[in-house]
Amino acid sequence: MTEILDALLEPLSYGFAQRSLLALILVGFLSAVVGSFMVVRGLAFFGDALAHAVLPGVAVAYTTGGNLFVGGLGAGILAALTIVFMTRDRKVKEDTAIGIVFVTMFALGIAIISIRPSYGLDLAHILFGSISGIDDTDLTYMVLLGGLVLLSILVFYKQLIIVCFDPELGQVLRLPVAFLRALLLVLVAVTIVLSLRAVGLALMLALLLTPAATARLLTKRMSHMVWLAGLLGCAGGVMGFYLSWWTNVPPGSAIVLELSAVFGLVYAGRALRQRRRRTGPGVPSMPGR
Amino acid sequence: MTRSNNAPETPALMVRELGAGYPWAPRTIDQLNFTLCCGECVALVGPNGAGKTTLLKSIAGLIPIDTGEVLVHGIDCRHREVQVGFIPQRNAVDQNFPVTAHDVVMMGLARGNSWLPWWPGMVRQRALELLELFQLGEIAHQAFGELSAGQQQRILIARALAQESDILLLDEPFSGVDVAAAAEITSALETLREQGITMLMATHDMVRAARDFDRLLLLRETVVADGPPEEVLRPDLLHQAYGDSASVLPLKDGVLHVANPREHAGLHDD
Repeated sequence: MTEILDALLEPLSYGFAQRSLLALILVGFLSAVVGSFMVVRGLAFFGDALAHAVLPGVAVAYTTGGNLFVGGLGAGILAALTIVFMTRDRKVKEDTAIGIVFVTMFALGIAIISIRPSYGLDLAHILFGSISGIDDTDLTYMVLLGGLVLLSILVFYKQLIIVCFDPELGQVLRLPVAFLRALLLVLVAVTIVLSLRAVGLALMLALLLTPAATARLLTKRMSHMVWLAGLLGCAGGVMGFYLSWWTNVPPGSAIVLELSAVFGLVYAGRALRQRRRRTGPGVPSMPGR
Repeated sequence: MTRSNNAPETPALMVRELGAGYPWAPRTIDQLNFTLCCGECVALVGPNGAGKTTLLKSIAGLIPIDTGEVLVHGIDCRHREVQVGFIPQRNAVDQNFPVTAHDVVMMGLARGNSWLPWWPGMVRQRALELLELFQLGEIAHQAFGELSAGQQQRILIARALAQESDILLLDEPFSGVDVAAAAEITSALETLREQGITMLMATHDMVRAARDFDRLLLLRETVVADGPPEEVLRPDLLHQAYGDSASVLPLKDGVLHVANPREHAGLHDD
């Protein structure tokens, strides 16, 4: 027992590990909560696209020594609002607009970052994260901006639910539907930028979608789904941290693999339960068969 | 616009020279005129593309009005305070969304209650009462997507009633439902009628429209005919609305049937 406790506490004697764990818990919760709205609204492609679309902002910050959060956030919000603008009169379909904006911005990001001599290393940090490099300033950004995202969701919770479930009802009720749609995309953009250091662009989508998709399998109500996803995201962050510490697997990969394993188990369990329910142990067989 | 106790002869809905359509498509309805009195129930019939849904959505504020006006109890329907209940086809809402029947009805009560992350007790209670009104109390906490078509459509009706509007617009509520579900929806419409709700219902079901409604509006871009079923479902008017593809057949029990002329032989054989 003491050995297990020691193994759990040992990483926490290092300052960088404490910051990493705190950051993973925070982004795990935040991403899963925001991801719940993405899952029910069918925004998986948008999330993936936005994760890549922040690259030019991050690349500019990297090459000029600026702040990664500010750079990424600027590019993310610009991409989100460009998509909203392009699809405002439905002449361009949402997935088409997302595809165009995503590829253009990603290409721009690659072009900017390729100017630097340490091109490969920088790109690896952006794509796969560098959680151990998180400092107090990064953590402060995460707490403040993450808090703002959660507060926005709390304030607009019911309106977001209505607009995601039935946008026409939102219009009939005279809710600010266009604003709410843009708000959701901006909140996704902020969350992606905040989670960038933890898992990187390439694996970001799993943090947003997997806990939410797991929670969706376990509950029938959105409010329960949001909380459950948040808890699964937190747990994923903690377990991923320790898995990474003990096995030397990069934290981003460890978290994603752990979250996917939980999803797989829940999915299999649910399928098994449904199968049992369908066949039913007490169903008599047809005579003569 | 909250529910009012207007006299039956008072106009609830006035449509004047209405022209509307989706911004990215040619105008679907034009020069449309009619008036609905308080408590009146009218069926909106016409071929596909005649503008039935466009008319309902433009009254509900879902499609911009290009020309003319729609007055709800004398006030322009675009006014922020005006509320008209719109009941979409059940397939128009997300069937996989994690909400219960109770949650869906509470959404209709969001106006004025939308700035708190939770639903106040009064709203919860009112939503339950509305579910009870349509005999849905027992399934209040079941997932919306797991319910039958009839139950889903009745939940959407309860949600529209929750908006406290005395005018409801129904977009083909009988579309894609079986006989049992249709009976449930008919019973829900009867409840609305008893509540004195003014109804405008788009439908393709001429038999039901002729049987259950005292007044029909035959539409094809504009109003082709407006009046009791026997005056509207005339061969010449139906020809004007549907072209050569339909005609009216009087059946033994006096119910009208609109069909493609090619189907006539089969029907007469019965």
